[in-house]
Amino acid sequence: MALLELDNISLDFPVLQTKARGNHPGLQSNAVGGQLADGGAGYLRVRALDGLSLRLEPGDRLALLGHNGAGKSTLLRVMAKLYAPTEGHIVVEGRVAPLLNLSFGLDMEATGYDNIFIRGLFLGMSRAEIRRKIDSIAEFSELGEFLDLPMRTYSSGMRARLAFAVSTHVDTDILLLDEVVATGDAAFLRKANEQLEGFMMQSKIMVLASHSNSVLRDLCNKALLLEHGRAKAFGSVDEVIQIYKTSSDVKAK
Amino acid sequence: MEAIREVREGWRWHELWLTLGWRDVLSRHRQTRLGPLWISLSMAFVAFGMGTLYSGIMGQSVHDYIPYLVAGFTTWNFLSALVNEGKDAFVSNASAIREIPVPSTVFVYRLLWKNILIFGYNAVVLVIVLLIFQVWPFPAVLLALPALALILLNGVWVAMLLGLINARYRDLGQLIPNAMRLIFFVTPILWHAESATGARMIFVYFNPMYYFVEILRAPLLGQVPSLLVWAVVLGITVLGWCIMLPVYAHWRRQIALWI
Repeated sequence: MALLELDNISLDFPVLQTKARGNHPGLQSNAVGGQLADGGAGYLRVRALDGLSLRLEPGDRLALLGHNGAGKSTLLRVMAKLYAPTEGHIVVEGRVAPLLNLSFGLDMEATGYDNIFIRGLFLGMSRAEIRRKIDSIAEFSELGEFLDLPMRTYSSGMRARLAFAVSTHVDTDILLLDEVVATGDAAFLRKANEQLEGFMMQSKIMVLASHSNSVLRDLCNKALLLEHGRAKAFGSVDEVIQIYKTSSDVKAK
Repeated sequence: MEAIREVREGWRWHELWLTLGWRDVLSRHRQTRLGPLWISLSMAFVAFGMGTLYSGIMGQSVHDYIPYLVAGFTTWNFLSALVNEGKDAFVSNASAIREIPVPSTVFVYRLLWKNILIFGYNAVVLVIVLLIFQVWPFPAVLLALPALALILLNGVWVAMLLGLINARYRDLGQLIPNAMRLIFFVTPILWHAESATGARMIFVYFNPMYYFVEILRAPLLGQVPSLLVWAVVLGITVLGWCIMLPVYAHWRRQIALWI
């Protein structure tokens, strides 16, 4: 049973090694970022998420929208249990696969095959499981003989292919994606999207943060618009995209 | 309880940290022909370079001094790496901690495993030295196993505690290597504990590192560490865990935000 439930989540980031300069403009005047506040003890606090509540059940595919620094990636990291919320409760049931940073877990000096193992182990697969899937991963990446070369000889697109190939071979209940489909060439993008769709079918819940409205429309059935870490709108993808467009148009003027 | 669960949980990820630790050893000597054998070679240089010089300065026979130096140096390298790298257990894995939800203890076990392997490469030189100088360490050498186990147990709390504090207060990271360098010279490694007299005995008997060096060095040379040594090390182990567990449990959720 997959379930993801947030109950009134807030997250404060301490920004150590900074000085609060007294008078804090902070708050809503910034176009980007969360809300700044004096954290006491002389450093700043950024309230990255503010009072979010949410319940996702099997079949839910949530799109996250918002300007830079609105809290999309932070929210994904809270869902992945990487960041513990300052306030509020989170319940996550099921195996979570975060795909937040495609270059993570890649060792530039190791070969492609070694990197499949490193990244796979980090994602919670066992060696036996990786060995079982390695042919399928290698084939999907289309890297062929390059898999025997050290990673530093790869282009960034090739690295993304490998990382993506490994990540989408994890059996998962809840899939968290952060702007991943933005890299790679057109042919691979198409293939990645197909794979993503297949992957989504298997995983029961998905959350995707992206600035590409067409990707969000294709893949998601619910949407959440974040602004300064608060939920500004929640509903169907088209509705929320519309609200987002209007609000950013207003800002642009 | 949460902290203990993480300690146990980390074991389930052994395939990951065994792989990462081994890669850490290899990557230090990347693109060299000898690879990790350089670890053994540099210990061999110490044995024969420092061994011959210092045995002369100390007025001791090479037969006694070189095995003592190599056993002590091997032990010290292991201990100081656990402390110096332990303080970076979380900071140096910042990107992993922010990207992938694995128990933080994975990174602690990773550095323990890496240093066990390095200890192994150094021990090769020790074996050769013992053969050359015909030191027969059996049966006391078997005590090296419980000694290693105790040291590793301490390695866990040191890395979790210092790693946590260093994530928040980075000045600690600057202080520790400096302190360790000083401790190296005031701990009986190059010299014998018995040669410290009078007030200087403070550096031996009130120096926790002396006990940690002695508990492993003595068995490696075929001697039995005294009961006092076992008692002190055991006491520090228990004390360390008792301090680390509540501190870690209280602050562990902040680590990802600090690094």
